[in-house]
Amino acid sequence: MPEFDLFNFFRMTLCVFLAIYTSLTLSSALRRLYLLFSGDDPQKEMLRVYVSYQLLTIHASRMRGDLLHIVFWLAALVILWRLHALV
Amino acid sequence: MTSEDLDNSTGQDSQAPAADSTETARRPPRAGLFGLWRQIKEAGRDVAAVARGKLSESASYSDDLSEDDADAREPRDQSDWKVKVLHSATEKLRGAADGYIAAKLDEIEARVDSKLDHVEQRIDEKILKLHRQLRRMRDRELRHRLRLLKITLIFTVLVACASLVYKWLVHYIFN
Repeated sequence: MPEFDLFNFFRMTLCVFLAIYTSLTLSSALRRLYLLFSGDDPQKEMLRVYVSYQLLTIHASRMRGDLLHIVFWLAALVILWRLHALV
Repeated sequence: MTSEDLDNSTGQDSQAPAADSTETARRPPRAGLFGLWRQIKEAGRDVAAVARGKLSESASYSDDLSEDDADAREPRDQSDWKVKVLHSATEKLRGAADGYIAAKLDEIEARVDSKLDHVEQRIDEKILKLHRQLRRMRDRELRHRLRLLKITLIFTVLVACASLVYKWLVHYIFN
């Protein structure tokens, strides 16, 4: 019988809670976006075109610092994950 | 010219206004100030009759009455001449009024066009301003979201570090 570990329990509970919370938030946001952009009227079509234009004209160079930070922290997370497997 | 003429003209006006046009038409033309005054009065009366559309009716009525009468032909010709003169004057006046109205309409159209151009230019400027403001807001929102993602990642890495340390301690120290 595997022994009960409080830290593993906390980690698993946190993961489950965060997964459920993220799923609910993400699905709610996606549903809101779908309701906002769906429709055949010209206003909705113009909104879709305008949002597409805004998405295509994002300059990533202006957010280079934040993006580099995110890449660094993601790399650190992957390394830690690998270290968990090695220990 | 004399007071008799004046009496004739004024007395006739007051006594028989309905038979004015035929009576005055038969009268011989007079020269001088009173003749001119009478001509002006007749012209005014004819203008009013034309405006009411009665001159042609009275002319046709007199035509019916005295078709055989040779004396009635002269007033009829005079009446036709007056109608022609009045018609030509009316046409000229109408043409002048039409020209004036057309010029005014062109002026109004030019003013409206310039005002519309001004409004369109202001709308374009407003749209450009809104577009720039939206781009600034979009960049700010994206930066805010990226900062939130970075903070989430930092805390995730911290929890992973704590988990790794705990696992290392359990594996190598407590066992």
